[in-house]
Amino acid sequence: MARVTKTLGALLALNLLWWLAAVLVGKPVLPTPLTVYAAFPQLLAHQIGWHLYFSLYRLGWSLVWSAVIGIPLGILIVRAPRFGAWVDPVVYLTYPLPKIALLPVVMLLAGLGDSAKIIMITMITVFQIIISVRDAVRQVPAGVYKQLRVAGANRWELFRDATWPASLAGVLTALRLALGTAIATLFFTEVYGTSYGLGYFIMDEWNRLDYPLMYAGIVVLAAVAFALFAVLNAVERRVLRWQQV
Amino acid sequence: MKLTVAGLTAVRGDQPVLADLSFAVPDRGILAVLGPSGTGKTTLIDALTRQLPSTGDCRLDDAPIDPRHQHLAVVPQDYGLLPWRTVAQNVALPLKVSQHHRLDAAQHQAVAQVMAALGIAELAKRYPNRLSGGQQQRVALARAFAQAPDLLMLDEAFSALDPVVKARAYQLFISQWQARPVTTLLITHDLEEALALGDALLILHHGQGQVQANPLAKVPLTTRREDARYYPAVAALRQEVEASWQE
Repeated sequence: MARVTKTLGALLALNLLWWLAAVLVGKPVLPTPLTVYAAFPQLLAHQIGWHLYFSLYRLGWSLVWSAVIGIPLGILIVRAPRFGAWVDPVVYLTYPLPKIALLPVVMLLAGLGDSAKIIMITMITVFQIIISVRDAVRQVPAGVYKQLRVAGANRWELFRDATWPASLAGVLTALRLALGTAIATLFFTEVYGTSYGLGYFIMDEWNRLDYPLMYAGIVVLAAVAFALFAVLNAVERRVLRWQQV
Repeated sequence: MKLTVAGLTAVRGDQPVLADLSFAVPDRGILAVLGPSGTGKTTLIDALTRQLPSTGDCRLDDAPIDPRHQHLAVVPQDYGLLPWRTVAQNVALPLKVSQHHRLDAAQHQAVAQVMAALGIAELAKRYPNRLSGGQQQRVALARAFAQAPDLLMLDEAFSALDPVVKARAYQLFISQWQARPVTTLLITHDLEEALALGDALLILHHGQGQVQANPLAKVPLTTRREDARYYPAVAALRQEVEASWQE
């Protein structure tokens, strides 16, 4: 209950700041919150449901691919040291590259459709997953594996009882970090080569100079991000109960 | 089961740590292995449990030691609890691994009994990060005793405890051990602990050592630390090992 009250309080404070800024600026480019909320019913007429669907579709598949590629790689770097000796430096070298700059190349190779957008977001988020999982597995105390081996555990049992629970903690940490980046990248990729998606919707309303509706789109995007974080937090609270102090 | 170690040699990195070490522990005997850090005490456990390549012959009764075929239990200094498993799950873990995750009613009961005896039944659903050091140590002891091991190895298992908690931990260990006597290797750098709990002593030095009798071996475990001969024996042992440990 206290959490809900605090969240509502923060929301109210943000709206007050927004209102104050709008009044101070006094231009149509920054409408007041009330003007924007009054434009909300129009969102339905502008197919906001479809825009939302396409954005979530792209975001969801990107995160699935990031996990499918990133979790095994992160685990193997630690648990298969010979493989890790080759792959870890490659990850180290490519992680800091600004991969968004490769967007034109990805679009040329994968076309203007959903694939290019999903590939782009995956390319950016997969590194966070690899690194977080790698670090989480690396932090498993040596004594844990020792205990399991002394009990006669085979490789599968070592994975199930030690490596997997540890990497799950890494995945959830990474998803939390990656989600913000993924949504920013999603917005950027939806500016090109599509007529659907929240990124497209926001830029389209900007081109039409319909600022209240543009802000309504931004509020929806922010609400989506908030909802995804809330889901992630709930999953984390359940799966990582052992980390709670 | 009788533990026999013959010609055990182990190398860590490129450093030889155990050099042709031989000793035996009778069935249900407690051998205290003494030595300062770096003398190969932990290496001895790693070699016995096949965590480290070694040469030599290590047997329990007549069978070569193999974690897949015998029940081995290790209580390490950091207790080796799985952070993502509750206390009850940690205690049952070795049994579950060896039974392919199918425990019968008797095994469930054994786990519950050991937990109750060690006073951790009410902590069953807690995770290790919510436990004190003393509680974690009791969970590790419960895990070891619950599986009714063929060989129990304590690797500085009492070292991280403060004196008051340590005294209680000794009592709990002794009561559990007496309820389920098991061939035991007690690895320690603590001379008092070695004399209080060991039947015999093996003083490791440069990876070698000979077994010698504990002068207090005939005094019952429960009263040994109160015995008038205890502190003189500690002083004598201190004098004996001091020169070699300071080399």
